[in-house]
Amino acid sequence: MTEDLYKRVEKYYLPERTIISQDGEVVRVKDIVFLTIEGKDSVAVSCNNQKYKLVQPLSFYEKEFAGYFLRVHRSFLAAFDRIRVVYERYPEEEEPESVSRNKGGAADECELALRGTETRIPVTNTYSGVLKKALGVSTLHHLVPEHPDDKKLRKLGIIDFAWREFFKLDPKDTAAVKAYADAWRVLTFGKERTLRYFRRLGENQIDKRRLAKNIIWQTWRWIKKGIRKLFDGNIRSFWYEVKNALGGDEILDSDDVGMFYDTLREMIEDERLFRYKDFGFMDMNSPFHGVGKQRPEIILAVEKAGLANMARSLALEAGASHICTRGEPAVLTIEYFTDNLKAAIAGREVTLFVMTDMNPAGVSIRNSLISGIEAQGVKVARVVVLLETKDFSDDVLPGSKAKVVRYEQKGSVITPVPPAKMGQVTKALKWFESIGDPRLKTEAEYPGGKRIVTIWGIDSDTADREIIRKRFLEGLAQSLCFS
Amino acid sequence: MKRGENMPKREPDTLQKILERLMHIDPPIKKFPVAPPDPDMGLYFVDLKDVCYITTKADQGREETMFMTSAKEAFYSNLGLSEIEKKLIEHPHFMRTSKYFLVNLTKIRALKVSSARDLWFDGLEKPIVNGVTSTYLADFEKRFK
Repeated sequence: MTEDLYKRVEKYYLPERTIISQDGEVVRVKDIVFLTIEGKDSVAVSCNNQKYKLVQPLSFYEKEFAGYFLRVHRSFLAAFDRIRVVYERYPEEEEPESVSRNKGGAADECELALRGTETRIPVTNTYSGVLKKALGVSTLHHLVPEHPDDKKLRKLGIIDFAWREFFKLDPKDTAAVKAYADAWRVLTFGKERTLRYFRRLGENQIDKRRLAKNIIWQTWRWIKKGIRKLFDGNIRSFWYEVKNALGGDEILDSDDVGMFYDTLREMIEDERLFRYKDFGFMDMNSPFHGVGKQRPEIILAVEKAGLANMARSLALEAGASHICTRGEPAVLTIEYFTDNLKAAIAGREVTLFVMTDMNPAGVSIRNSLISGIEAQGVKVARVVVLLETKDFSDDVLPGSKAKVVRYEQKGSVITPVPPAKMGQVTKALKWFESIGDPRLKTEAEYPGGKRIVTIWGIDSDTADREIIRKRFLEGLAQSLCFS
Repeated sequence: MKRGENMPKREPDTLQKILERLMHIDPPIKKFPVAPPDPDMGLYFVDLKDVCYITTKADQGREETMFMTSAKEAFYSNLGLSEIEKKLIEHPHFMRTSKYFLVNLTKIRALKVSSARDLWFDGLEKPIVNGVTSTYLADFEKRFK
């Protein structure tokens, strides 16, 4: 008991003790914010930022004032009671990015803000364990337990600025909305503040991708809340708004346009945070799709723009829906199309009649369309491929086929003929196997056992439209029987 | 006790009391990690000596616990009130006074005696109404001397 009491009193007394500097000045321990090394000297820094050169090495003060000063770096002891904030550490010199750090794992470098100084004190991994134990926390990067919403956003690199104020904000209170926007609009932060929130680890540079992500996120949040208007243009209008706001500060420039679009695409198509349509972007393909009145759950889809009119009139004849993807289907177009579709089908499953080129790209377009429609919450119950190789007789085929890839084969060794790449050859061979029509592969023999092999595809707009029409109507009749 | 026996020494009790008093002056936990007020911070530590009370909060779209300071600043934690109570069990200044409140006894500046107790705190104009409920009242009055 006496021992416990003595230890307690000693600890309590520590801040009252004094340290004598090299110049004979007396410094009260409670006035010292941190100790560091300058040149060969140990230095105590007090709360008025006065520096005192000390007589002993840091290790002496670490031991002598254990429990008051805590070693957080080879060259720093921090007054534990003064720790106020833990910040991410952004070393000035380039350092390899730590994967574990990004996951909030073992790498616990950080910086400390202490009461009584503006100087941030670095904490290195070596000493972070002791610091965490003293602070009673399991990580130095975020609060634990963390709210699931916060965790999700943190993992995505998104900051939901002042969300409490945002939650309470009344969109009709224009003065409050303006005050909020003035305080928290990322586009008006200026370079210094932007750097504070979106600094790239290991460099004194803005992480442009993370900045773009946060601008997009904030824009979406503000549109949903009703405190900003939808865009009345396309995705490019969004980019121009961002570039105009940040170009002056040289935060983003024209070369970042690709990065911006890619970030938007990633957030919508990969992370599924929201939809293009949420921003009000115009659908450039709106003349190329429509929902049928009688049989909206029957969809006739074509790839080529040249087939759009045929698809529209055929769908109209059958009372079905139609869409022309004009190449790989745009997610924005599918969003608009499926929203209209959903309103008409009332939860029913759909049948997709699809006519794409007969080649690997056509298969990819077909699959993208199916997965795109299903991603919007519409179940595709049946897919009918309208184009078959048997539709092309031997005398017609030469005029309809188009080269997919060419490669050289010697024995079992395959070498792509440029511009083809090995991946394309592999994909084409797999597709050819699935089609099973030997007419779509030609070979030319060369001396030395070498063969040049060409895989062919068929353009969908060379098909006999009457055959397609007949097949569609027959398939439609079958669908009616099923339903 | 038989005649001739010595009185037991009372020193341990006295030392224990001294230790308790010291604990009161210098509590073992001085800061608590809370959600940072600025998103560029990783962690923020609220000084418990500034906290008037800790209460549950669910009016901002999520269940949270709020630390209210005498400077009228609110800080938030995702720990439940009971979990915070456990962490502060040895803290001589804090005690549970109702289902919804943990209060800092050193920050109370006034109280109103009624069926429960309304509590006023340093720096805060509005009291917490029914801050001490009957379950906790006896313990509160014992500690709040």
